[in-house]
Amino acid sequence: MASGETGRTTIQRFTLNERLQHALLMLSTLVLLITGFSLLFHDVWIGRWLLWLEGGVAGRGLIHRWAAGVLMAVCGYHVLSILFTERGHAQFMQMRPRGQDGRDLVRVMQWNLGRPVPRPAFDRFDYRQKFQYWAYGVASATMVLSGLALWFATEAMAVMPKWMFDLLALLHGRESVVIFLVLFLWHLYDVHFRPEVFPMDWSWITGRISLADLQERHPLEYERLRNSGAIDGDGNR
Amino acid sequence: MAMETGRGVLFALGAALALLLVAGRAEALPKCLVCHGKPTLSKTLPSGRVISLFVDEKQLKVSVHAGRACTDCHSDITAIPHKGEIKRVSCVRCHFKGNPVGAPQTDIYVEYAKSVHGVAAASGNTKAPVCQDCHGDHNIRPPKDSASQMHKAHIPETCGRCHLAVYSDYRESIHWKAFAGGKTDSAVCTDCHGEHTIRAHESPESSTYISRVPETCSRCHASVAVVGKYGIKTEQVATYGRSYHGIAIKYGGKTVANCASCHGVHDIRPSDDPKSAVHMDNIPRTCGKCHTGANVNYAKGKIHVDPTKREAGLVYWVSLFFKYLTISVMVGLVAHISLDLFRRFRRRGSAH
Repeated sequence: MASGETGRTTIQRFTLNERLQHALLMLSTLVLLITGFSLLFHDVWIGRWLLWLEGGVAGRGLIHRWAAGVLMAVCGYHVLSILFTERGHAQFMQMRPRGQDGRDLVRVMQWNLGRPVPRPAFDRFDYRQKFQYWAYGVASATMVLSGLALWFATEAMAVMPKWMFDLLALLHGRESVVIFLVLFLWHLYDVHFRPEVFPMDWSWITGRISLADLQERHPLEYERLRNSGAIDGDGNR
Repeated sequence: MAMETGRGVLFALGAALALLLVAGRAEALPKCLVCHGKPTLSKTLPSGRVISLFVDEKQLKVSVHAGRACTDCHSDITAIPHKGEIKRVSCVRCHFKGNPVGAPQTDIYVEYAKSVHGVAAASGNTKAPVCQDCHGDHNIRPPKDSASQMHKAHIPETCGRCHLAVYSDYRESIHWKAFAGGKTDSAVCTDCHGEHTIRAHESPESSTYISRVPETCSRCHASVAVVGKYGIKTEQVATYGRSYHGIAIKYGGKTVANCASCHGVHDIRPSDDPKSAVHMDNIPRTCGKCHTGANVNYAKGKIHVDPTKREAGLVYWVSLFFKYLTISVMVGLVAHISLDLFRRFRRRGSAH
């Protein structure tokens, strides 16, 4: 931890708009996973119990579709903000995967194993955050598309053969498990259980990060902001 | 001498009494048969229907009740010729648990009283069947006896006496064709509907209630010992259970398909029969009963699809892909987290 001013001074990392997007996605995804898994695991006690809690298959479907509506609205808004807002576009450009991300992953593994390599320095988004963003993005797209086909089954079956519908139903269930693993094993570890953030990285609520943390976790961004004069000793933007 | 005479008289009296007892029971039959032995004896009901009152002695002699007198069952007849309305025979006079007369020890009539037939009969519906309508009256035999109208081979005919339209549908079904072809495991009416417990299919207690149909069919169709030996697949029950139809019906869905929704009810036919509801050409019409506007797309692909079987085609390969994707994501992420923690604790332990 750096000492002095930078230890206490914070700068904005996420706008209120971004934090709301995140909160709504988190809530809708949680509800979607719970209501989805109650169908996927209907033959074990947890699924039976959840189904009972959700008011049977009919109630479950209703809750699932409401949550899906929220998810689709936020995803749609997010895409529009990337396309048409300066902030959204700038953030997205920083989120683009680069070859450096792969090299960072390898470097982190070497460093974690104690090999004599320099500690990798990350920019605004490190490889883990990018991977999680893109995994979630790909999952949302496939879940929304396959989910819409299941939602409007009659309309979907008017244009697609049964095997394709079966494929989408299968995809919807299997993909949900994969994204659940990414979110719960990786994202939640990163934001809750990593020793330096435990019990929680508060920036998703406050939107702010201390300069010390910025320097430690996103040194390239820190340097860039210092060099451009965007932050001075007080950490004002 | 006097003793001798006394003994002789006693013996004669005893012999006469014994003869009378045996002959008396036996004689009751011929007496009744004076009238009821005539094949033409009949009666016209107020409804205009003519019913035969003929009792075939030959049949009665080989029935389970061969040793019984007419009045054992027709207990309201005390004089010949009898007068007035003769009541229906009540079988429970003897057929209850603990009866002392040697009738089978069973309380099955209690079940019957709760059945759709028993409830209808108790409410005064004279067309509702009572015991003898199904089991037979003077011709009654044990159900295992091939001449019994309760023998498995005769069940459809017996039920069909009232349920005529259903019977004619059933005669066309694979269940009857298989049975008639000697596959006696095949289902007759009672295998699906039950016997004394029979309920209207709208009743949640019925074995043919919408949500209980899968369970009822699965008694044979999930059993390798029953349908397996005829080369019929048993996994159809499991694949249905994993399908949305199967899950929804298990958790209270009232508008989803059970086995019968697609395969038909009494006239179930094999899928290669052009008249079968599940024949490829008829799939759009069958699915269209629920899915408005169902077209030929519904027939493109396996219906009872099992993603773990190679025959599922692309569904199998995608399922396999996701299996290994899920495993690698799990292993990869656990490894990534472990390495992260490993470094931190190691550095904490050393100079850092």
